[in-house]
Amino acid sequence: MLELYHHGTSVCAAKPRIVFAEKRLEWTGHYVDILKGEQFSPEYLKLNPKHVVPTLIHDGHVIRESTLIGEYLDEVFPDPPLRPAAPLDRVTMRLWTKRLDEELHPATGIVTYAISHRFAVMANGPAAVERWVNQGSPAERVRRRQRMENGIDDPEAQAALRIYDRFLADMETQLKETPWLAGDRFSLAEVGVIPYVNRLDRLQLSGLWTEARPRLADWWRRIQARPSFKPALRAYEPKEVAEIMRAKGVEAWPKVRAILANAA
Amino acid sequence: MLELYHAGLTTCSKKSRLCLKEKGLPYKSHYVRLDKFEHHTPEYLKLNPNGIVPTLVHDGRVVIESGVINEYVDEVFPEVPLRPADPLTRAKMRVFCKMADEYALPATRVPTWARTKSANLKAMSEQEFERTIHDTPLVDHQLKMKALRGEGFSKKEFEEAYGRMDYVFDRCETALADGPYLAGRDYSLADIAILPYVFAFNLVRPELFQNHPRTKEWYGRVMARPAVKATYEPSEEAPAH
Repeated sequence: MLELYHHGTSVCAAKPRIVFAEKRLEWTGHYVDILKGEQFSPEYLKLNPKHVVPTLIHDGHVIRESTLIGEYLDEVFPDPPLRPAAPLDRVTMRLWTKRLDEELHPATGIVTYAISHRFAVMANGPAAVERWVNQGSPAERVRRRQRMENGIDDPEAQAALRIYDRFLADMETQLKETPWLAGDRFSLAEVGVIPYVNRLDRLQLSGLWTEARPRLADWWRRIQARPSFKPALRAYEPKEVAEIMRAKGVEAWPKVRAILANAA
Repeated sequence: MLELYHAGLTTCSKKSRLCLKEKGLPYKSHYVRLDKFEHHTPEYLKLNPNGIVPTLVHDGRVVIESGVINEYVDEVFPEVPLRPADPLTRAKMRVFCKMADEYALPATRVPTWARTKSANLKAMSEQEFERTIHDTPLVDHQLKMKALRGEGFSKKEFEEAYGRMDYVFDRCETALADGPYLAGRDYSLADIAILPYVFAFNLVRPELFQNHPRTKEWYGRVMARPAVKATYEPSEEAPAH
């Protein structure tokens, strides 16, 4: 039996849902409301000491880390394969997923809060802001406060936007060579990247590919047309979160465009 | 043909050398001198745009990143397997490989770079230093080099690095309760990924072994392997300098 502890706004939790849909696997969901702090409950901490989603339970065995969950599921349920057959294409796939984990993931949280989520926190009053700031380690708190106050005017938020932009530029370059990110078919590279591009899409920043990255725009159309897309990416998305990302994203777009044009 | 561009006894280079030697695969060694910034030359950047070592070239095709290289080598040359066959154990192995990249590597850079790179960077003329920074592809490396030429790393950076070292040692200690190696019964890419970091952490914090007895025992066992000895012994391929 496959069980997934997950949430609708988490980028990483979407990855196993894409794998389930692509492989048509039956699964049971346990919704961990990370917006309410349920990931810190003692029961969940036993499964996932880093208090993050997702966690996969397969016949009682615990598997953590979305990238590793993808490789695991593809090993145990090889049909249809989500890893390229050629070892060199697997290298390309793993370089994408590694870069997500090390580079893009930290940038995503910063960008999302700078553009949208900080408004949701601030709407709950000064005490909520303090709680959010204090969720970071003592060393991080000064930076978290600056990010909360300055939004995308914060240098850290702008650096995170540039990381995203460089990542999209490299996707465009890769997609000139191959129809998918790691060769001639949809793979775990896509599974990993989709939730991060989806985040930009929900923040109304799709101009980052519709304006000057035609191959990426085409790739995104193909992704959205797959039967796995809606059940994995949209079915669990909380409506109020989608709405604040849309509203604040529209406001932020001209500034985002200007920041990246200046950096270029 | 396999060719490895590497810097001998540096951590990530050792990871790939450990893997190739364990599998008994012959390779042509290209020693890259980091102190002379040979990893930032235009020729090398064509192979590895990040300007870091190691890089593997297999029949003319380029593979970068030590962890990715090792999985590739084990896929293409399956003899002497270094990945557990069982998917769950393999997932356990990959947890350690990921930990090496995300926790251990950033931790080792602070004390190791402070020890090995400061003097070189401080001795440069302003012009040489500017050029060196300009030729460094990774922004994170640029920032660290600037810090080392200036006042060095902050107390906070050292504390963060030490916290990461504790974390890695704790995770090893826990895992080694279940078997002689990090992923369980067999020596694997997990041990190969972590060993160079445990080696490096032990140089700056020998006390870590005292409260991590299983890790200490593992270290002794692993260091006795012929392929590990051959990797760590200074040689023409990996000069001590």
